[in-house]
Amino acid sequence: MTFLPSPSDVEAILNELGFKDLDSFMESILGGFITEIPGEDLPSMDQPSLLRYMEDLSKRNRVYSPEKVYAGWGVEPAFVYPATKYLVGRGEFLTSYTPYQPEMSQGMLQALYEYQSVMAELLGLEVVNSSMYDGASALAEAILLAYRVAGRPRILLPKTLPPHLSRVVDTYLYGAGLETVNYEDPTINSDSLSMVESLLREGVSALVFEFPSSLGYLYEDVDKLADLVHSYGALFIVYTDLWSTPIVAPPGDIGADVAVAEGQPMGLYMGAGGPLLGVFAVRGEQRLIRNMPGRLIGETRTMDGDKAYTMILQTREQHIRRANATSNICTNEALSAVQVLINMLIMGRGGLVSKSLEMMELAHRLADMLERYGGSQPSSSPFHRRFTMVFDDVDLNKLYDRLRGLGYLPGNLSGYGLSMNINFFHTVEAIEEFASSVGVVIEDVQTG
Amino acid sequence: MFRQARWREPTVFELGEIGDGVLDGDEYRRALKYLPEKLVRRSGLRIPDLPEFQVVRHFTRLSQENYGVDLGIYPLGSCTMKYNPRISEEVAALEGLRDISPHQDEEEIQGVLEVMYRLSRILSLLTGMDEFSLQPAAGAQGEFVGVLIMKKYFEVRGEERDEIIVPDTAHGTNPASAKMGGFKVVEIPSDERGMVNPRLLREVVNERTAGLMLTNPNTLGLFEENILEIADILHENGSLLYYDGANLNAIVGWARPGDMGFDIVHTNLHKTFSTPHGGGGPGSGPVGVKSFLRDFLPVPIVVYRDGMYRWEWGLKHSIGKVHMFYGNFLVALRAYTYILSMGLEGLRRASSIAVMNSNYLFRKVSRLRGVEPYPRDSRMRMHEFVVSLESLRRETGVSARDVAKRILDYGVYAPTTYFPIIVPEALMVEPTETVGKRDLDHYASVVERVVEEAYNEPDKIINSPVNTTVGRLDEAYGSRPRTMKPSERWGRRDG
Ligand SMILES: Cc1ncc(COP(=O)(O)O)c(C=O)c1O
Repeated sequence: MTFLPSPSDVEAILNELGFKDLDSFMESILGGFITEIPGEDLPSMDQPSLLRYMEDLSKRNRVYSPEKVYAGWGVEPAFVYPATKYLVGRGEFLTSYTPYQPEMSQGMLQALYEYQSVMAELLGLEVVNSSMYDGASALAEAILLAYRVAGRPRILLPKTLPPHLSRVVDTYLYGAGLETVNYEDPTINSDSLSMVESLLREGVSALVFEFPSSLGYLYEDVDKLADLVHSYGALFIVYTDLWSTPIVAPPGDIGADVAVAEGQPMGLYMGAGGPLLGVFAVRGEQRLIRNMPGRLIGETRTMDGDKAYTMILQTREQHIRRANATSNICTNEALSAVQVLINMLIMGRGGLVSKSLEMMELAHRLADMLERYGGSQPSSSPFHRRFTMVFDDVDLNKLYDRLRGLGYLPGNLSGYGLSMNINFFHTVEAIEEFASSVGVVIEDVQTG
Repeated sequence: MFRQARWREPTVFELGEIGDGVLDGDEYRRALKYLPEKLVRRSGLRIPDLPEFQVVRHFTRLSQENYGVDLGIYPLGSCTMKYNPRISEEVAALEGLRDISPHQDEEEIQGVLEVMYRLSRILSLLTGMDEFSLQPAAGAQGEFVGVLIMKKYFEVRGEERDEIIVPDTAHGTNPASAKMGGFKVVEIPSDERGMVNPRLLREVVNERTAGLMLTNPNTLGLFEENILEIADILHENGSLLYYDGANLNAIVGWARPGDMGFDIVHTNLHKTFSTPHGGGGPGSGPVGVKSFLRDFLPVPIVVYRDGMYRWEWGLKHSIGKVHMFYGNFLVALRAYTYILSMGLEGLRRASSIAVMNSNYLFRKVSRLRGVEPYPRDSRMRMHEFVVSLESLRRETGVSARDVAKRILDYGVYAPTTYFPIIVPEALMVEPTETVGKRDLDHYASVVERVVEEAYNEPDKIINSPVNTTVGRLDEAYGSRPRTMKPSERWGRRDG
């Protein structure tokens, strides 16, 4: 039992406590509550056999080459620099916890402060918390914040909000007893704005807007939409794609009060979907900050006046405010935040901007190629690195399955078509190969 | 003597040249090729461009200014800061488990599903429940799920119940979760023995009571010995009993919440099952239920049918989803690895040593001058214990906060302070099973030395810590609207 103290230690302590073995010791406390648990199925495994078992298990999963993955809703292949992996594996970070004693936990606090600051730059907003569970719960909590601030039990959600987000939002709003109304995304339906206005007139706490949308599109008059939302006293919540922000107007530039995102694409492993990183930001306005969920790190000073970091505005949180806290979140995704921070710093500003540009160029190149096979898009709005397509006379499910047979995870399917996402690993060669595979399959399913 | 690293490390923003960060001519031109001008980023992106060696040095230095379980005892109460085996890290780094997309079909991820399925079965075995969902990302999200299950359950039954009871020793997440589920929170006082008193409970339980949320052992480290009667009171009233599994490490392998009458439980894999806390997370908070509540669990859950693991989405009354995908799989995987390496016997031994260590330290600490056990009796504690420094404070002016700060000076982490909130000048101590007798003796001697100092040299304590990266913080300073600074961008509204 290598993870436990030596038998002689155990014996010595039991002796002092006046017990002869652990059984009688536990018996003295738990008495009749002790249950016999059938344990034949749970023997202990030594480390070599355990590793072997896990390696075998890992071979029973299919691993896609990252450049063959075009699926991108929420989670996608992300490059984790070896230096990032090494640094977050350091025990001083990995095995620490919430910095309840800031004087001895400055390293984590400063790292999280830097995460908040780098994320604030990307999003163009001033206040970012030190993490939520994932993008979906971050979005749900953004809505709860809006309700606390604006007080109206109705929320507007885009019809195109995909299920990995909408189902979580539904659950949180069920708890809070809030009602949602769907509106047409203006990049899909140009009449959307008048519909939105009539909904706003009835009184809502927030309008949730995807920028870019999950289908990929960027609404050009997003600033007008923000103004409209604000003119009815509602909050403008923007769900964004972090990879777009280095070159596309970030939430702060388009009038967002709250911005939320999934942080995984910036440097977390996919891990079959977790752990992830919920990014949560607000404009630097006191009523928004005071109503924010989650932990917030800030600069402070020591009694001697030196600069230092600590958790700030803790009176919002459950350990102080209990039932009236702004959220129940306690354990969050701090190490994911640090991992994403380090990964982004290794890329640096220059690296982030050029990668974001490259992704946009690749996406357009791919779209052009696919249009030659009869692909058409549900929107004429600009897009960054993601777009959606349907193909004349092609059953998308069939297309999807056939491409999967060729080693691709070709995108995300919805009623609007197949949404494809350019990720960190894509190259010109990779997308050309993909496009020609699509071409071959299309020809095949059309004629066959 | 202990002295923590003190690099006076600048922020990354001070490590390199940062201009205004706006797109330069070439970048702007490339952006304009596909974006209309008004959608091109305008505000500066003030992120430094640093060589990799500088990034590595920066974070290595920061890591040295941080304390973790790998450095020594970390006895935060109810947090179970136990050793995190490296084999779990190795397993979580296997490409065939780590690089799996959640968008893959079930037949392509049988290995992943097997881990989820088996872990769920093991958690059921260990807690005495029937079915688990691994979706909640932490304990608090598990609580939220549990609360919503109660809500939905009564809705389906057509009963209007809008109150949830929590004891005054409950963790803050319990009332906060109940509130997020739309419930009114009714707090009941603990009795003089630090427990839920069945008589008092009977007085507050009524036809509007949806359920009671309870930690057992509770946050005072005491086993709620009236738990069967408590369960009866709730069940006779048609209410449900929720188990906050934060303290499962005290009983795992010995006793099971399912046998005590709990209907819904969450477990904190990052506590009981040793996954690293990562400076605050990620964790994982699976929720288990008795079979009559199976249909209410978040979807999907994993089932084994016709020789294959599959997702089951069709739970009739499911509360929905709380996570984008299937929860923190890589955390669950680490927990599964830990459980397999321990085996049931190992888990039993671990929890009993955790309780033994706690009692050993309790005896040593609670007899110190100015320190009293809470409640004031010498009953056996479980995996954690609480003492009050009220007398110390009265006699010396030194508070629990001061004592905690001074403990840091000796190179060990401080216990939780001021929780449970009903205990004046509380220290809440959970040593876990992964410390030896020498560590415990050393910790007790540190607390003893600090308490002596409180009587002899109180100034030394009030001015502590002095051996940590920074001295005592002015915590309020960072939270005042005028002086707060939550990011480098703060106050720089020029874009
Ligand atoms: C007693 C108790 N309940 C619930 C929680 C919440 O768990 P988590 O932090 O995993 O959300 C904690 C943890 O910190 C706790 O100590």
